[in-house]
Order: sequence, then C-alpha cells, then structure tokens
Amino acid sequence: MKKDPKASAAVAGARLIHRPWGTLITVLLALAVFLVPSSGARLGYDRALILEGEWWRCVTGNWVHFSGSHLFWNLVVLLPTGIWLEGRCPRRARLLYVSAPIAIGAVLLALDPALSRYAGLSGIASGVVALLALSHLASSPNDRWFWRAVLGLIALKIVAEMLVGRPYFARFVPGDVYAVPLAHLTGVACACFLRFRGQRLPL
Amino acid sequence: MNFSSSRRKLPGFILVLSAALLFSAGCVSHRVRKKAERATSVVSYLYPDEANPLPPTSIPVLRLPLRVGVAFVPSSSGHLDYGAGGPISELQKNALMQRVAAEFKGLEYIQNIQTIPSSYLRAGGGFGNLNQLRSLFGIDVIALVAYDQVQFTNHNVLSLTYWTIAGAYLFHGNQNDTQTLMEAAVYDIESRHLLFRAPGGSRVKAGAAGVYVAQRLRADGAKGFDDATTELIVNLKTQLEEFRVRVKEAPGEVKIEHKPGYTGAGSMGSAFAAVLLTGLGVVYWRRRHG
Repeated sequence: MKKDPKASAAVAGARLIHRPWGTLITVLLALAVFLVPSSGARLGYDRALILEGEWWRCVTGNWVHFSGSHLFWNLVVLLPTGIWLEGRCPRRARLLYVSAPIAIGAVLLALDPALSRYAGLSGIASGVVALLALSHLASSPNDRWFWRAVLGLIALKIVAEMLVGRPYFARFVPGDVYAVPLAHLTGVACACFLRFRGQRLPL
Repeated sequence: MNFSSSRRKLPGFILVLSAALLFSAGCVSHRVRKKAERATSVVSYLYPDEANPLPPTSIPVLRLPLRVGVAFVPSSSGHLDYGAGGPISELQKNALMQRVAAEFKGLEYIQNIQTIPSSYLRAGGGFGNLNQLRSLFGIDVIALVAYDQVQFTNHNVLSLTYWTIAGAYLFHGNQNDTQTLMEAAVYDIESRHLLFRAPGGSRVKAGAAGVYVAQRLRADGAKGFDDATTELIVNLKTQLEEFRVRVKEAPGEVKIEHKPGYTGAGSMGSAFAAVLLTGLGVVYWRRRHG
C-alpha cells in the first residue's frame, strides 16, 4: 500500500510540533547562562541597570541562577512538567515560555522597587505547573482531585512565602537572598490568562 | 644589769607592741570596705526626668537586614563608678561587647553589629542620645547593656592570723562574694520600642589573704562580668528566637520590611519539587497502566 505523501508530511509536522522545543530551549538557556560565569553578570535582573537602559535583564534574569542547587531544583520541576505540557498543548506552552519571562520582569520592576537583584526560573516553572494542572482539569475527569491538589500546592507555596518566608528570614540559596513570591504569582497569572483567555488568541 | 628597772618597763613594752600589732592588723582589715556596689540602669539612662514614662504608640518597623549597635549604659551619676574591685574599664566593656557581637554577627538578617564606646553615651542621655548614635553609627537597633555588681568581703576565723602580720600575707582570712547581674535591653531607636530583653547573672566566691583582698575583688569582679556575659549571650539567643516566633504569630506587633536593595530568588525548592514529582509520577503511572 502506497503512503499518501501529504498525510505523511502532516504526521511528521505534527510530531515536530509536539516535540518539547520550548522547554528544551528554556532549559538549555538556563544551563548555558550558568556554565558561562560572566553571562550571569550581564544578563541577571538588576534594577539599577534596567532603569539605566539595560531592559533585556527583565527577561533574561529568569534564566540566571545563583547556585547549582538553585538551578537544579528549578530544572527538576520545569523539565518533566514542561515536556508534559508541551506534548498536550504546545502553542500555549510556548506562548507561556515567551510571555512569562517578560511579565515577571515587568511586574517585579513595577511592583517591587525594593528588589535590586533577582534570578531564577521558578516563576516560569510555576506557570508551567499551573497551566498543566488547568489543562488537565478541563480534560481529565478521573484525575481532577490530583490537579486541584497541584494548584492548591502552588497556592500554598506562594502564601507560605508571603506570610512566612518573605518577611521572616527565609533562605533558599546561600547568602542574603530571599524568596520572591511575586514572581511565582505572575507565572501562575500568565498560565491562568493563557488557559481562560487563550481561546481568543490564534492558538 | 638593773633587772628591777627592766621588769618595770616590760608591761609598757607589751602594751606598745600590742597596740602596734592591733594597729597594723586594723590597717589590713579596714583597708577594704565590707560591701561595694556598682550599677547602671537602662531606665535612668532613657527616662532621666520621667517618673511615669508613656509607652510608645507607633508600631516598630524593622527593615532587614538590621544594623545593630551594642553599648554599655553609662552610670546615672555621670562619673566613673568605683566599686571595691575598681571601675569597669573601657577595655573590659569593649571585650564583653565584642563577645556579644561575635555571637550574632553570622545571622543573615543582621547586616552588621557595632560596639559603641562609652564616650559616645552621656548619663541620662535618653532617646535624644540614642538618635545621635543612630545618625553617627548608622544603626537601627541598639542593645543597651546595664549591670549591677555587688561585692561583699567578710572575715573568717583565719583572719585571727592577721595579728601576726605574716598571716595577712599567707592565710585566706577574707571571704569574698561577688554577685553580678547583667541585662541587655534591645530597642528599636526610631519607634522607641523595647523589642526584647535578656538577663545574665553570676556569683563568684573566693577566699583572699588580707593584703590581697582588693586585688582578689578586682579579679572576681572581672570574672563575674565574664560569666554573666556568657549567660547573657545564651539568654539573648533564646529571647531572639522567642521574638521571631512572636513576630510570626502576631504580625501586628512588629512590622518587618526589606531595605531597598535586597536580592531575591525564584526557587521551587526541594520539598515542593519532591511532592509534585511524586504526585505526577503516580498519576502518569496510573494512566499508562490503568
């Protein structure tokens, strides 16, 4: 039986689309920035330098990490959830990878003037986990309890950071570095927007 | 030889010798006071002219990381306070303050701790003086250290040997008792709030020969301060922990803010990652096999 070349091309195209490009690019960017020491200084979120015109730091700060463990735990969450999400809804996922870093940088710049330096993928990772849970809630009736629990866990983490971690001496990486729940909240807000308002976008 | 004349002079000689011995023993035993006290008071320093100081009304705002000062409260009389063991010297004060500062320097919510020399504090200076220190040293919070040291010295039965003069050098006929109480009161200077306080006490007992009493009391006084500081540090740590719990449980009592310029990190954290991945793994496995 002869295969239809158009159908074969469509299948190959679909496979290509469902490959987790967005996740892999994001992870590779974070690894590259971590492995090239000087890049952290050039790309990290630094409020003073952003206000002097280095606006790209708003976005690239998400890929910078302060330590190996900081990077490791963010990737441990982002890699499996990102691959899963991109397999389910690739366009929404990729739009999240593009929009979340911009939104996080802008929100931190606008709403947290006390924050002078920021780094970490966790804002994006929170958005990815939230979007994965929201997409499953809509289509997987059997596991709804689990995905609700995942959303509850994210909410609990953000609230805990606001009430306990943020004001009282929480340390996530060595040195005087504090958790920034606003970044996680922004990532989740991006996920919610893409899930509930994304239907109007050309996805 | 005229023995009768010598015999007549003997009672007079014994009388003179007895008087001389009595006088010398008296010199030894009365050179040191029976009780001596040296003390400073936080209340006298902060509220010198106020019988009923009003409590502060504003909520203290602590901007982390904190810049902390440590200072000894000056005595209310304004001059050096001489006890039996001598005054507490600036060197001693500095050494004690350095010990306290060293214990709290590593904490991530403390930017720095400065020891403030006594010459910057004036007797009864109050919060006006503290505000000057705040500007001069750039501190937000100050730990004011006050003390009360009482020294007693009493004679025991061995003091009878002082009559022999040599005994005053050899036998511990004096029993010294040094009781020290130190207290650190930590104030937020801007709001005038007492954040927490911690005491530290010690008791040193030691014997001394008559001529070395003053020397011994000085050593006991120094040891008393040293031991009390050790206890003070332990209690300060406990009180600091309790203060942290209090702030968490009653956030309206003290407001915590970060100073502009803090560094933030977006981190998922190991606990969150472990819980999430375990759940995802279970769901994924159920889908594949269920």
